[in-house]
Amino acid sequence: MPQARNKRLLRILAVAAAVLLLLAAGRSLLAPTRILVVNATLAQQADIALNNDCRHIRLRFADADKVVADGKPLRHTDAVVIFSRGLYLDEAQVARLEKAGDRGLTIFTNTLNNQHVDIQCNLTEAQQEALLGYFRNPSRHNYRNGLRFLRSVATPLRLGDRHYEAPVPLLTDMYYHRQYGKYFETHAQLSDYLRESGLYHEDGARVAFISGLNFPMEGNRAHVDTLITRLTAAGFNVYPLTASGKKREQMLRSLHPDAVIYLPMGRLGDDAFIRWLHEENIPLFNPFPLIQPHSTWIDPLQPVSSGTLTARIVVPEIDGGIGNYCIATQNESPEGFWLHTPEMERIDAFLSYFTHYMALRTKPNAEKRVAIGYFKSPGQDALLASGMEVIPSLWRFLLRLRSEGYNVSGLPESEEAFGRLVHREGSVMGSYAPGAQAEFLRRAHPVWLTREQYEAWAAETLLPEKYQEVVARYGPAPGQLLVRGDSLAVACLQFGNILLFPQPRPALGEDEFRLVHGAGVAPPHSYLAPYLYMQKGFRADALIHFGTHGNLEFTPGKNVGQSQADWSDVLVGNLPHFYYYTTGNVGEGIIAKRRTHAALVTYLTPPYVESGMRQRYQGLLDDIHRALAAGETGGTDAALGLRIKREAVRLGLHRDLGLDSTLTVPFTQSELEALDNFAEEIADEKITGAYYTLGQPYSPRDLLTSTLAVAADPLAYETARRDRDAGRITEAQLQDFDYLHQHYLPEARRRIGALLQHPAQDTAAVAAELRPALTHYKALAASPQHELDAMVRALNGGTVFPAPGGDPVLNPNVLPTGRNMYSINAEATPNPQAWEDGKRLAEETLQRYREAHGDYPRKVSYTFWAGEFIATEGATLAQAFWMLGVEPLRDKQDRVVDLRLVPAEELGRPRINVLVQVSGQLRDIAGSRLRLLTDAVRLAAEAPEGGGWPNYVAAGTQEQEKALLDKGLSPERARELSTMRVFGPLNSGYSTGMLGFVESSGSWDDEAEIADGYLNNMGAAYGDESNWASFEPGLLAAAMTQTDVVVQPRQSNTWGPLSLDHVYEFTGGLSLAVRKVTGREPDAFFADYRNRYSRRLQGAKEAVAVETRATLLNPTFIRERMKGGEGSAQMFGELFRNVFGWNATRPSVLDPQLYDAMYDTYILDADGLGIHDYLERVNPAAFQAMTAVMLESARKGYWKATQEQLQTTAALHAGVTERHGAACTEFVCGNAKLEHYIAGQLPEPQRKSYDAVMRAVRDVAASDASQVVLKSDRLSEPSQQPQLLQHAGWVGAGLAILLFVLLLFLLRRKNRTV
Amino acid sequence: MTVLLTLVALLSLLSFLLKCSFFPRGWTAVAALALALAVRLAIPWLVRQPAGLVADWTSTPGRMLDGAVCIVLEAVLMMAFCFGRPSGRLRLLSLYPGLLVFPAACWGWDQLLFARPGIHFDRFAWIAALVTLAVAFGGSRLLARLVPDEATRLEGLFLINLFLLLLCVAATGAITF
Repeated sequence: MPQARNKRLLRILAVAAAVLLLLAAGRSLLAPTRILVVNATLAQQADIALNNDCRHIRLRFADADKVVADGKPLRHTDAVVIFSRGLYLDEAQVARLEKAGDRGLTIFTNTLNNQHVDIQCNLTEAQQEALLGYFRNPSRHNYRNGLRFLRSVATPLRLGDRHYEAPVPLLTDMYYHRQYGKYFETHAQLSDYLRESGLYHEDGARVAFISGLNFPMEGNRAHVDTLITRLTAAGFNVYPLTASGKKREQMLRSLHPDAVIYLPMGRLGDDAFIRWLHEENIPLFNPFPLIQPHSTWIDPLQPVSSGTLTARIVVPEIDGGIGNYCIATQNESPEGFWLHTPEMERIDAFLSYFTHYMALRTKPNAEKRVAIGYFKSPGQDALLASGMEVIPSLWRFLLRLRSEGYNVSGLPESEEAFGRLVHREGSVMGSYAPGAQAEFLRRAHPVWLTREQYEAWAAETLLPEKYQEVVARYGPAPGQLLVRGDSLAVACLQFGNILLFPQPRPALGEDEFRLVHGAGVAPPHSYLAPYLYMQKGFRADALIHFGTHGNLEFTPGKNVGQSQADWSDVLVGNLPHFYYYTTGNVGEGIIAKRRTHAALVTYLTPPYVESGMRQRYQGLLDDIHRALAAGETGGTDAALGLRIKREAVRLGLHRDLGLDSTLTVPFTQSELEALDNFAEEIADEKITGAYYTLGQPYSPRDLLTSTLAVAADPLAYETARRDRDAGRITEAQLQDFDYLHQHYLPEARRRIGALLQHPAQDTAAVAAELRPALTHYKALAASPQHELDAMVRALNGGTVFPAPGGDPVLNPNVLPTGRNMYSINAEATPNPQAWEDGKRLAEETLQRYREAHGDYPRKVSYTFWAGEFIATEGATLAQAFWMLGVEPLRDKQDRVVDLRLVPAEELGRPRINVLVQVSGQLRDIAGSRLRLLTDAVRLAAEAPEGGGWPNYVAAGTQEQEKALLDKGLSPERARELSTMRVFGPLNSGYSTGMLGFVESSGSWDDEAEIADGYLNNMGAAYGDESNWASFEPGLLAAAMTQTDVVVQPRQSNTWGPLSLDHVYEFTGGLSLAVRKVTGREPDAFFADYRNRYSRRLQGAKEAVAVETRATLLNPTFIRERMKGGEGSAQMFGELFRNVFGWNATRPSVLDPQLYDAMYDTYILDADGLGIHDYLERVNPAAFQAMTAVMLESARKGYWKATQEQLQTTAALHAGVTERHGAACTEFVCGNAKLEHYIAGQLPEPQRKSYDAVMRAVRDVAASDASQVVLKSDRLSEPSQQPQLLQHAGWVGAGLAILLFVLLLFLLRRKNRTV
Repeated sequence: MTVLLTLVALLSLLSFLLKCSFFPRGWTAVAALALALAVRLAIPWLVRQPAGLVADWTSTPGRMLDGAVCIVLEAVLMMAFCFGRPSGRLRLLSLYPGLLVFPAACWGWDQLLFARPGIHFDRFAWIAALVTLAVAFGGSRLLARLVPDEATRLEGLFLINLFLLLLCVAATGAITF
């Protein structure tokens, strides 16, 4: 029995085992193949998943980061498909994947030649080839069968559907249309098809439509079909085509379309093809689908990703593309797939833009209506444009339009009359001067909009919630400014079909301080009205903004790919928009272009002129050279030494260099060298003359000096380089700026001068090294005509040729002007040259600091500007990296994708902490670099100390964390923010607010208030995704501690620390804030990139002194500028305001005797320049501003003026005011304290008349004076009270413990006694 | 308020240590482990809390009153234990170490978190837990050894909790009136 039972049991067990085995085998053989797809875009994921029709395939998708982090996603996987595009893996990560392959996992990488990752495991070459055939040719068929093929390779024993078809090469080089599967070899065939389908428009323009190689075959294309449908319905004949490379070029040349719409990433063609496109006048439009969900896109604080920015914006700009509208977003379908979703409003907006643009090609000029906006500050100030005289330029442009057949009827006969008319009718009002408003409304003839009309247009144009923002801030229409009853005035002038209008102030009240570069609030009714009128009332066909720069581009909103919620988009109204922009300011130009859908048309900078300083300093320089030569040979000449010293002291050079003024002791050899370098620097300083007038060629002399400025340095350096190669000079001499300027530059200038003054008839006879000079000369000469031609061509619906931007001296390729500027690929920065320069300059910064202080600085602060970033391709970024001790790593496409920590031993110095302040413009064009910099900070902060060198980054990070903890942040948040080092304007804005703060000087008594404003306005962190644009009170102050040095870039010869307000705004503002936080003023340097052959470091005081001597106090410069009109004169006022700005923020950069010198030059006119007559004649408002600044400086104590100086200046100011009326610029009319101060300096009769003039303004302006308040979130020092309490807590705790011990002791003793 | 909180925290800790000194060694270890575990689990939450958390809490009279009631209840339970060894179901009372020590310990470690920037949060949590374990277990055993007389420790426990109670009554009175 037991045996039988055992047998039965064994049988049962055997059957069970067999069943289990069968089940296991079945499970194994019938199991689905698990395929993991890595690094596919969301669109690819959707396409792959939606085309998988095999139920034996299970798909999963994963990011590469997750896969390589721990390899977990690779478990329970049979095959892996890696999409290599944009993927960068280090060796360890590649090894991890290959190890998985060693374990039997099938890994296929869909790679192209230039991509970094190429891992193939357990695949034969034939199988790889087949898989490439499927996945490199993405289509419904290939995705479906590619997955099936991979299943057969990875799991050959699995049962089930094993059918697959061979890959089908992607159809290329053909036309298609909306009907799937319908393809055409020639455009003629497509035309026939369209005719047969009733879709052909006999008079319709031909539009080549390029959507991507795979679009005809793939499914995720709703936005493409929508666009084709809408364009066809709008009357265009659309020719969608798919091809690449030369074949695409051939097809386009054959089709010869009227326009090209290009959606794919990458360039349309090579330079030759792009040139052909523009020569044939075929405009290129680049709408694009965004790889972001709708909710992210619509958020103005979320910038588009860096990859998208490069592919969709930067690269198309290089081709001269326009119309970068976002037409689709990517959103999750109910099934969980991410599909392109057409943004219908944007598609309509693009269509409207495109239709308007194409209409310009056919509409007669006489019927075209063109609106032209210009920029002007309130009051009697000149019309403003960087380096351009606006009134004569506008005048010339209107004459040109008239000659082209435009209706410009009513244009005054003379430029002067035109100027007077513009000032009278096209004025701008500040809310602080309602009297001036009343006067304007009485005298001028604005267009009046009724409230109903205005609101109806607003409702048609604006989103309800956006209009509600306006109403919530400024009250219901018509608002407060330029209002009469229920109507709103639009200041403008109309000449036939041309409308001229000034850009009003984009914010009112307390936000007026941040106007030019954008206040983070909705614009008022008075701002919207002219744009709505231009669109709806005037019905413009095109819009022009005239001159650098306006304020529309700085209204709040997204950096690129705007929506209807962006003011800069909606106010342009989908009109073709062209923007005359100086070639010298590429950084802000790019923002203007991207945020207003503009095509830029560059114009020349003012001409470079002789400063006359070499002649002035030549005697001194000769003496210095003789003394230096004698010193080298061991000889001395006491009399010569003393003569040099006397001359240097007479000129005040010793003050700029911090040398002694004892006339009986000559300078030492090293002091002489410093003096020599400084004097050479002044003598060679490039200065610009009177402002440029559009369309007006430089004078022959200006043409010569400008060509010399552009071409002499390269020739000098080229000659020196050849001498170095020939062993005639050393490498050190080649790198020595002063040596080259002394030994090579004069000869280079002489040779070029001789060539240009006596040009050879035969260019071939010109020496090869001199030919570039001739080319630049011709380009400069041709530019003015080119600028006018380019705008006319654009208004005819034509193209604007693309070009780089920047200072012509730094980059002569910007010539000729009249072209559309583009930017650089931020992902490739810092480029190798910038990296080398950045390292050198960083080391030089450390060396100069050590020489002055004997130790390394703990923290260096940098300013990042867009113009510098584009011009140098990241040299300042490179400096910051090198300070931290990290270096960039590049992929095969030369993009900087990762960082390497430089070991402390290799670095050979401490890791220096950094702080970076960025302009809004830089943030918008290079956000990815700011994130990379934050990564670098984190890397450096975690680096171990080595080689005996401290790590200031780690120490600073800890200190920043401590400061944030003390502010009450959670430890986790404090830790997170402890590595934030990049800061910029709040709310993704563009303004520091410093200019307004400083110039409203009647509102503050202590500069510390300005520092508070800076800490508030520049306190937004731009470090990583999760903290992008976040503001944490106290964070910037915490990051600012230990700052020992500030470095400001300088990349243009058209401006300097005195002539550009942004320099004191950033460097002065930062210095002031650091001084407030640390109690110590940091050293300041300029990273001087103005000479592309010799990027160097320059002390801030030295830089200011050079510009002061070469411009502000230089009679030659003043005479040159006095040749200009009101714009040139306005610049004098700006110079004075900037001197005031430096005084308020960083007075140490200025010579203490500067005001006295300014007094002599401008108030007394000691050089007999006739400056008073000039200013009174062309721009009395600027004259009032200059005298007002002098007196305000005295009132603030910056100028220790004598009573006589004060009285003279006040009398001059009062006289100009009485003769011309109060200019009502902010400095003149917005400062009651100054007004009283001035009155106090005047004799009785003049005081009365001055008071009368000002009372007229004050009485009407008083109501708004209270609006002038400093908006600052004041950062108080951490209160001592909590610390005291904390200490009291510990004392209390100690007492409690003592009491307890005492209690125990007593109890024990008592119990023992008992 | 910081002084008050520090006092309450320290008195709670002393109360806990004294109470544990009456436990068998194993039960002391369990209580100490529980406290250490609580600290370990609480620190990841604490690092996300701003410094003003406690201040916010104490500045709300309603919450303060709730807290005071909890402290009074705890003190009453401890004082009840001092009047004689409970029997029956109340025997559980003799094994009750006190709950007030849990927030008190967390508060103490939180203070250290704010005073020491740069520390590794996870490492800190483990170290804090270990130190808590050592102090809780070692402290109570040390007290038992230093003051072997149970009556003396009972009196100490009673007086500490009486002090806590009076402190809370006074604080509650100040808040209420």
